Amino acid sequence: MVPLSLVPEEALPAPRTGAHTVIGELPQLLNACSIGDEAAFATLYDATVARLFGLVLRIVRDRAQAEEVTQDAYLHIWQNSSRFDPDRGNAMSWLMTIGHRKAVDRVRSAEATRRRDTAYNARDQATPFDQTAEEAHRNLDAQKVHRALDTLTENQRGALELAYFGGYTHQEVALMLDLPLGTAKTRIRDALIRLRDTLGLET
Amino acid sequence: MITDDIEGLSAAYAVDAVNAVERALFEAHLAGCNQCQTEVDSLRSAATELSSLTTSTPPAPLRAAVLRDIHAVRPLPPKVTPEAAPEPEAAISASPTPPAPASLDSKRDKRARGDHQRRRWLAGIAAAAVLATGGLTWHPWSTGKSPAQLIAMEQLLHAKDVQRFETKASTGTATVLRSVSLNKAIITTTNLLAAPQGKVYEVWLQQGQTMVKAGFISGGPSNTIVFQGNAATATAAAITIEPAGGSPTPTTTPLAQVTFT
Repeated sequence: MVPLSLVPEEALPAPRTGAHTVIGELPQLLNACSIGDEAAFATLYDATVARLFGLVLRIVRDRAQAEEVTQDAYLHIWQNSSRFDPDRGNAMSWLMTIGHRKAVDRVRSAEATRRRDTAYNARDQATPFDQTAEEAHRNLDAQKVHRALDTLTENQRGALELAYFGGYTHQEVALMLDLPLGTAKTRIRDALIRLRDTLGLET
Repeated sequence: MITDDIEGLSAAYAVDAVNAVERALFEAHLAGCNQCQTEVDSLRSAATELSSLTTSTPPAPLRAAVLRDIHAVRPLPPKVTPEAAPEPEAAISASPTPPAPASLDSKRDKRARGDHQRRRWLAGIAAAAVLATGGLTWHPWSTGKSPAQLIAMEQLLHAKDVQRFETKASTGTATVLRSVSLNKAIITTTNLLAAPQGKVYEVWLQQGQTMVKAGFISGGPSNTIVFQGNAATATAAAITIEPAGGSPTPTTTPLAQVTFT
């Protein structure tokens, strides 16, 4: 299949010095994907995979499984590219939501849980936010997020981390943090709202 | 208290910190609640920022594998309108349509590399086949459920007399929500292994001494269907494996069974 191109090569915003220049083009790239443009998909993959894979890896922990989940997520992204709606939020959020849910579903499947726990017990249990983030430290976005996280209470941050990076349900988070059932979801909500407002995000 | 809590789930839902039943119920609620949908969208944007903290470069061969995958699968068409096309009676996935259920992975890992690739390829075809026959697929901004399905779930959610029954099967769980006053019930399964080749999962409602067929459900991380038939008078529900197309009465021992007490 000859990839279709929405925009002639020479008309594309010039030199791609890094992922950042492409991030703003994600909606257009998704649009191109929806009509079968495999080259656009490759560009989108290159611009986003470090972030999606990093997130998936953080959640599933096992590299081989993280690769499978990432592969599955990108196939899903390709298939559903026509369903992306820029009025509903930014493209990165759409992509990460797909990766996140796939990763969470994977860790919750019985076999994967067993395997993950084995791997987990074999390593240091202290997992601060930035453990797998060697590149991210140099990243301005990450610094901004770190500052925003600093505005959360320890409780909010703990609940959010277990939910988002741990893949645990709010009931499980409540048990782990010794909270009354039903309280963890409120903490997660408070944390996300604070984060959203600090980062100046709106949909 | 399912109804009272549902709106409080927006943040937990936005970060996938809900269990399968809550996910199904909240998605039913979301379909009719713009306020919650807007909140979920904005909270997801906030959560997405966290992913900038964990970047990691995957091995190069993954790129080639992904590009091979997409070459073999057609992107879905845009949603036109809620068509008048008949809804499939079978299960409607409440979760991402995975090329292969996660529960197969342990087996898959033990297979030879070539077989692994072939299975991926077949899985892609299977996913495409599901789409071609009107199966629905999940994405972040759609619940992937038919209007009838959503209406049933939303009604159940708000039913005063909703009852909840849960059972553990070998690999996952089955949860039934029923309202006698509505004469409706839904079943949500988690981690149901994919049905063997040529087989399906059929669901049943027990009426007196008879098991009456009540629909089909797919394997996968999480699926929800509405029971066909008289939920109010039923005394139990069950899932069995049956030959493709289903059976008029169960031919195997139930994998999971819940008694309505």
